[in-house]
Amino acid sequence: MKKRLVTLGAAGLAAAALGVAYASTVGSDRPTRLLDPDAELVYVAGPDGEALTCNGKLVKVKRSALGGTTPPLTPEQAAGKSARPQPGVKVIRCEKGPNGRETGRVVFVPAEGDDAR
Amino acid sequence: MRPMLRHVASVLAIAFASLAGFAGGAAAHSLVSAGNVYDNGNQCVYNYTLQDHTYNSVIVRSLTNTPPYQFPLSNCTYRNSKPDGYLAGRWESWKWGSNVGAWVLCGTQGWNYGGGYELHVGRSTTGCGGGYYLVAGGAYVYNGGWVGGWLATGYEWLW
Repeated sequence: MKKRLVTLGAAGLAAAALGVAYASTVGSDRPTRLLDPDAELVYVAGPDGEALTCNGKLVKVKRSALGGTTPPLTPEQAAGKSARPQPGVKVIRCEKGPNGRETGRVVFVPAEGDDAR
Repeated sequence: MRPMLRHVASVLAIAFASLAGFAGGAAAHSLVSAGNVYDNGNQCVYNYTLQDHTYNSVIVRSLTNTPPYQFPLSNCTYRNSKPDGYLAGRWESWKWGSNVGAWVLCGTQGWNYGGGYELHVGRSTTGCGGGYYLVAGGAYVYNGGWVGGWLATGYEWLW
């Protein structure tokens, strides 16, 4: 009986430790502010999923350069686009010049693993 | 197996199963933000923005108060079909950037256009690694100019 209680206690402690480990992974760095839909400059994610750096500097990009917050085309310009397949997901990366060095600007590229590329 | 080891193994298995169930449950549900983002009494724009684990989407609906035939007047209830190019939608996936203390744009399909009374823009996405994510969706209808607005889902941890 005593052995069984000790065993259950040990297992309970192990489960608690696992729970704490899981919670610390999931719950770390919880967002502290709401998304500002009107922000003119925003951070974009890099290949590591963190805020993008180009030439070692954090990059902020104008919302207008990312497509803006209102549709940029008129209905006449947009007509016919609905018949085409929807585009794939795009992500933002550092633009590289002819010498392979980062220019400091950013470009949209197809997301890795997206099946619409 | 000795009885004591068997006990430990079985209790640990239950603990792991509980954790796995908890983690799976956390990732399996959808976050939705929906409602009319524009209403001038005649033209309404309905926005349905969804984050469903690895699938992001926005649905745009063009609605009106004006009923067909003899139906009763009802606010933003009836379909208000538009020509091709008059509906536009865009979703953006945002990840919390812990290194900058701000939301970071992870990916988007850009603006998509359509006609009729409903436009669905959505796609599976691989995301930007583990973190807190939300989806912001813009829903617009052309009515002498683009009218509509944005909604954002709540955030949740995604792997």
